[in-house]
Amino acid sequence: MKLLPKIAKGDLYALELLYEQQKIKVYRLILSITGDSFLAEDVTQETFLRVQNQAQSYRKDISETAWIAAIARNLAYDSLRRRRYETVGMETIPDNAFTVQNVDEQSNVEFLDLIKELSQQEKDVICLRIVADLSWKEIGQITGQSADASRKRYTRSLEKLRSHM
Amino acid sequence: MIRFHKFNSIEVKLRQTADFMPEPTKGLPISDAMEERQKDRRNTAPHKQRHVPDWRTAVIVLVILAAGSTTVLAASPKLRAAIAQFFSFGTVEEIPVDELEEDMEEQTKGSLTLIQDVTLDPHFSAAYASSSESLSLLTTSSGMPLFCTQSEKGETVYYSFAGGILKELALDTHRLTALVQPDKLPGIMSYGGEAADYSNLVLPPVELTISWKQYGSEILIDDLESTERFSIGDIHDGQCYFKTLRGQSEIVEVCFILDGQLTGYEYPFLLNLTTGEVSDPLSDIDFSAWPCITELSIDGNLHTATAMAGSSHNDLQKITIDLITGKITAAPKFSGKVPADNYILSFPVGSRKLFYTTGTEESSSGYIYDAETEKSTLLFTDTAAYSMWGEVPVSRYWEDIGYGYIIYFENDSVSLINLNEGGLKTKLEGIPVSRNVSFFMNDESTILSISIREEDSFNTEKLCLLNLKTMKAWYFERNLPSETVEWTNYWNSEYEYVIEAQNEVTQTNYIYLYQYTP
Repeated sequence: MKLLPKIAKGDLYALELLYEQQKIKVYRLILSITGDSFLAEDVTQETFLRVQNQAQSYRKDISETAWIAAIARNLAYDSLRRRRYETVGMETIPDNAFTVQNVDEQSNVEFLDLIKELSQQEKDVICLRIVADLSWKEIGQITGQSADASRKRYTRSLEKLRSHM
Repeated sequence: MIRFHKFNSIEVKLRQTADFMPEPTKGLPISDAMEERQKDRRNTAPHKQRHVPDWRTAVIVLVILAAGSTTVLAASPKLRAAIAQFFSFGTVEEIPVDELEEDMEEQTKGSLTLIQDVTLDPHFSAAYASSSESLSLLTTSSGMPLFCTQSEKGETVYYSFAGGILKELALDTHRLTALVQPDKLPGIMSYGGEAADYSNLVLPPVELTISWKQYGSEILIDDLESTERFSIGDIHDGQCYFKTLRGQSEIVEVCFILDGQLTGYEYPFLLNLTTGEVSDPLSDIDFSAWPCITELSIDGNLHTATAMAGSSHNDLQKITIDLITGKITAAPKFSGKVPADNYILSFPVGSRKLFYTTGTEESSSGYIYDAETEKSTLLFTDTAAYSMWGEVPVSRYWEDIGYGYIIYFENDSVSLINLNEGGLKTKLEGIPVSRNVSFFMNDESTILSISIREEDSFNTEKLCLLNLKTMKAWYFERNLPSETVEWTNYWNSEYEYVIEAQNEVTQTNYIYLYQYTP
């Protein structure tokens, strides 16, 4: 069942259902980017607020999952930009992204440790593929690349990780 | 092969570690900010009226807990208070499944079946419809509900529903192709970290095709979710969809969206379905005082438009644009003397009152501020700490439901506070303090639905429709068939409350339509 059209009509049940379906992926994607479990909690909630507010503008040319992932990714970058009080180009990924910054001891963020040698763009595509579980086409739509370019960047990133192991 | 194997190993390791990442601990707050935006959206929704059909009396297997209510006004030095009590009669609404009762007239048309149509008393009725196809409900300008089914192939069929009679409508499909090319677009939109200035963007002509049916003066667009997608250079993408305008029998709105997944910028055009002419009623409007603008939408009267606009993305407010004079108006600004250090809720556009809270981590208080008198009136004080939502402290003990109403949870009771009437507090007897209770006002703010859901489910096990003018409430328990999952409740018009459901096994779709006659 497509939930966003219902959310656009003001259906809070549908919003809750969507939250239950997507919260883990969304939270982990944001946690990957921010490296801050507390910030990730807040940004996750802000993501679903944006989803509700912008549900009317959702169109069917991208999956609901990818659309929500795009919002989560943008908000996560935004939160890091605000934290650093820096003005950076809107198209750039903040250089403090994908680094462990503030997590409690129980939280497992080994994933971030594994990809620490990659560039920000490479980490970006790895997270969208591995954590958010998106298709090449969806990753391309979010990052402004073609599906093929996304796949190639992902492959190059794996090659780079392999060479470091 | 080795290379592939090693890649695969790395990928597996990444996936494994990703799977061990922590999960969020907070639940979804149906927060005040969310509700505020909900209110704005409801306020901009086209006004709907309703034609009250002459319902036939059918076999009543559903017995409702008709609710009487008494309203008692109590004296208070500062605030008036009221108590609404709901009296139930102890029977349960049995939601019917597809099998018709023996003495019930066959009501299957096409893929749509009217399972039951029940008049409960002169003021309340319920109808139950099902379809194996996608099923939705529309309300026409005349107020008559139309059921609409859509097959997987996109074939759309409409059914009128009046006097308890279901009728499949034989309507011709019309198609029109038109060319849309905006001269200029106002505003910069920033959303989720992405910003775009469209003022200097050269847009290509876009060819659009609309498919619709005409039912009297009503335009029925075949696929309400259909979009046309196009590219603008290498950077921007655009989409269009069509929207009917209330009261217009030959003109529709073309919603022109740029970078829909990022900025969500929308700009409206008008398309005349008779002549094929495309017009831009906002082309002469001076938006220079509103650099950030979004959600532009034209009203059905074609004389006014509305938008959310401001100096930045964080400063948006609703504006109204007079398309004849070009004048733009917004809600009056407040003086800034409000001593709020926490949440502020503005009343509907034009109001001179605010609701706000102050407090510490130990307690919080809610007030109404009147800009005319520059005085605040205390509504309530909580002794519970705020919960933090982002950087915004949110009280867990009240909920904004829009239109100047809030729900206040106090110990073991629930009250409705009418901010428009100085904080008139009405105790809702029988409504539990629970996360499983949802409140949803109709657009006209005349009837409040209160849905008490099953634990860990979206199924409504008790439904209350409270008429705020008369304080009369319909309050009944409900019994759903097994395997049925409800997932949408909404107001279709002022007097029509709808619940959509689906059988998880057969995938049959259901609409339960409750109609109230004032």
